[in-house]
Amino acid sequence: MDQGIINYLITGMASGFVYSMVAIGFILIFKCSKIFNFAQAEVTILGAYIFYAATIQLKLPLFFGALLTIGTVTVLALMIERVLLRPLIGQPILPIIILTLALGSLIRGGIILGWGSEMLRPPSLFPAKGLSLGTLGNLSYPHVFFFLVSCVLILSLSIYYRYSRGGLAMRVTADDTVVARLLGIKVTRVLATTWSIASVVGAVGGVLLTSVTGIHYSAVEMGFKSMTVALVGGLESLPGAIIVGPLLGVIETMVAVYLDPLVGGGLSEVSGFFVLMIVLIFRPYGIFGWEIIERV
Amino acid sequence: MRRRHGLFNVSYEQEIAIIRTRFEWTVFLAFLLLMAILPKLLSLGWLDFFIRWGITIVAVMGLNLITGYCGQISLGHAAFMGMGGFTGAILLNLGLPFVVVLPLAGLAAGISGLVFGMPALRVKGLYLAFTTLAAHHIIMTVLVRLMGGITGHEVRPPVIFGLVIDSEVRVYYFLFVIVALCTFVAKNIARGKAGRAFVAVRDHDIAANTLGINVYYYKLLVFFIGCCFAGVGGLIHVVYFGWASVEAFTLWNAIWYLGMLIVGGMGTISGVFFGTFFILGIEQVGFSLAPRVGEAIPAIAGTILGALPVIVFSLILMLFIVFEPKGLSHRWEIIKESFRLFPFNY
Repeated sequence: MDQGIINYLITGMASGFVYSMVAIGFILIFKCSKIFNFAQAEVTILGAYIFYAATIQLKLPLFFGALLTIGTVTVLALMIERVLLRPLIGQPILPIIILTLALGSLIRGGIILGWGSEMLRPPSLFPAKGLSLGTLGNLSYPHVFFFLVSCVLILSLSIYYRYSRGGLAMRVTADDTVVARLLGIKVTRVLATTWSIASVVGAVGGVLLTSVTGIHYSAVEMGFKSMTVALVGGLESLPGAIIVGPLLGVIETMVAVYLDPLVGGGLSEVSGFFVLMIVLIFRPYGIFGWEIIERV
Repeated sequence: MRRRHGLFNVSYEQEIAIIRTRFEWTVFLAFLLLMAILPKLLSLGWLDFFIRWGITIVAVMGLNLITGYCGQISLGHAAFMGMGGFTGAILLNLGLPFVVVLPLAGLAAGISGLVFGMPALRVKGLYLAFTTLAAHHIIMTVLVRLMGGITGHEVRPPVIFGLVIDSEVRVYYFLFVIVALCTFVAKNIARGKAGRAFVAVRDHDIAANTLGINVYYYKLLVFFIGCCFAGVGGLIHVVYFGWASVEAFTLWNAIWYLGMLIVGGMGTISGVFFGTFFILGIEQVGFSLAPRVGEAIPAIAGTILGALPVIVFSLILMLFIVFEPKGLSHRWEIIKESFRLFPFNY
């Protein structure tokens, strides 16, 4: 194979791991409550802003900054779950979708209010030089880290879902809240746990991501691509996210390199959406998702 | 709708009449008269507000058919508006007369709606929201790359039957006619055969199918009609501002339109008027209040203008969804009911 193609493959996959990582947050909440949280991308970015505030503005050490970030985001997630989403359990899908969209814009408004709209420079977490792959080029440390973190997260969460009692409770809740209550599962606690886990995962992803790109609220655009990854992979499938994420990254890179020059650019930005539409038309529940048969 | 005691519908025509009693006719004509003399009463700034209100009504009226009546979530409505606006701008600049361009702009948006409504045949609910989200981004790329969205198009004031639409007042009266027409058309679609089929599809599509309703046909039909409305709205937007630019048709706008629908009350024609007026009014108040809040709290003075309308809008939307999910039009019905029953409120 051509040297260039391998290089593009590697960069594409590396950027794809970021998508996988944010996609985990969407999948976690959906698996447990059948709610798709459009505000997940905003929570991700908010995590980065709080980390910035803690480490740069309050001058805390990195470790305490991380603790503070995780704590704040958890409290926030619990509040969101308690105040906004619990009254809507069992409601039609449309109000819930619009509610999470509104929540996202509220968080975005809060970010603009609190930190303005300039690009902020976060504390650097990684050495600048990348991991050398010999003649193939460099793989930067953050991307290696994304890959490892998403793999560890997905593996541990999958094991938790599959084998632990808590995971079983989550699966029951996802299937039918009434049955879960009958079995003695505290549904509200399960939902609260899921929201906290998803938000913390999102915030960690946000901190890692913005340590490379710089903090700006427009990074929520990246959230839309992660949603694409979650949907194409299947909203119930954690492994789907880690397979589809790099795939989408590769597709984007390939389109940017080979097709964009032909049409004058811009195609790579929407290639993910083309993939999404095609996949949803032929497999509406995603590649690894569960097909749900509807009864009247 | 309930009538005054002793007033009976004795024919089907009376049963389905939009305006039934003499009192309703009086109120309706008074409202029309008020709207007609409005430009004489208002300053230019408020006239601008009412023009934007009218444009939003036309667009949201279409979204109401798609989402409110037929239950198909569309996050691509702003893009469909943009499609109509850009097509109209390009055709106008080619020298076509406005009366030809107006239906063509609607048609262009309608056809793009038909294409991107196609996934609705396979998916629904959340997944449909995503395909329309994808549609938004794809249409935007088409507008930017293929239809000159990078620079935008300047649009000269159009001429309708020898009358140049160049001042705010003229745009207002033109829009007045369009809004009245759109409302009439939408109301008639909604209360006719198609509208009832839409509601059946919204409430349970599989059940509707077993009742003999061609679900695929009506889903595509509603996307076509709704996006035609969006295209007309987009064209008037472009004509009013004299400039076609992708900045005016963001995903953010599409979310606002859905929010207006929720606040007004989905699946009602009056809800479109209430919701758009309420949200646009809040935005207006937000913009005028922001500098004062900034003076009161200097620490956030620099960022308040961008943030305040967004925060207020989101909060209001969330409160409505949690506490008043049927929207303002439902509240309006309750108020009317309590007046009807006035001394005996039961």
